[in-house]
Amino acid sequence: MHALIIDDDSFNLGVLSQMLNMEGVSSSGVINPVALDDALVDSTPIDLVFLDLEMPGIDGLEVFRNLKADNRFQRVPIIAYSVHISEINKVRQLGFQGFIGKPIDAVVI
Amino acid sequence: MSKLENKHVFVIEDNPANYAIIATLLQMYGAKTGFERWGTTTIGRLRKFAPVDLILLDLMFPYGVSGFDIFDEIRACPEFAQVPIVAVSAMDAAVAIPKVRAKGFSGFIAKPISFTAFPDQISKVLNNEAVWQYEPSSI
Repeated sequence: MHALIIDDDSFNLGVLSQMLNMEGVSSSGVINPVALDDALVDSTPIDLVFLDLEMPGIDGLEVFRNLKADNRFQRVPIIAYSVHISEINKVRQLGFQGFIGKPIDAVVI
Repeated sequence: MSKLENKHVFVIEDNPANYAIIATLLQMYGAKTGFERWGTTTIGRLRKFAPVDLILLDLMFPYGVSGFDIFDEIRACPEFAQVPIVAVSAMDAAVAIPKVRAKGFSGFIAKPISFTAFPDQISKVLNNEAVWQYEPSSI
């Protein structure tokens, strides 16, 4: 299984990547979501996306809409993560497959 | 950010969040990391990861495995007999440090680890300096 992590914070991205690695899931990371298209050019097929909702320069929800408009991601589950638990209802309505509050609980993942 | 450049650090830790934070910090400072989760396949994974500059070992594992048993298992292998092993544990340091010193560990780092102090603690151990942390960090 291969996951894509979109997060502007390299430390958070690293921690999530290592946690997935321990569970046998490989991952690639995108720190600059504005350059998401470039990052996806020769990527391995993606089974799951983790998307940070708060990034500078671009709204996480806009990234979500862009991904869902892309054929490659229409059937890929996208999990939002944010420190703002109050966002959970919004992301559910938009069609995210999951929501994780930060800091991440490793056992739940 | 390169004080641990090309150092090979093997982490034995069952909690993915703890491992993930430790591994990410080590990698940010240039180290390469490997891991063992349950303490049941340690030697095989160490051999695949070798050469090893340092081993970080949690002391408490599920399924009746203890860090002290893992320590003995590692030391029984000639190729790892000299590799420094540091305990990284949430155990009460006043109780744990005398035990791990007597056992032959090269240091004790208290959990939760300090994001700022941890890379320096690792750097010190790699320079053969002792690291015995009695007070938990406030992060």
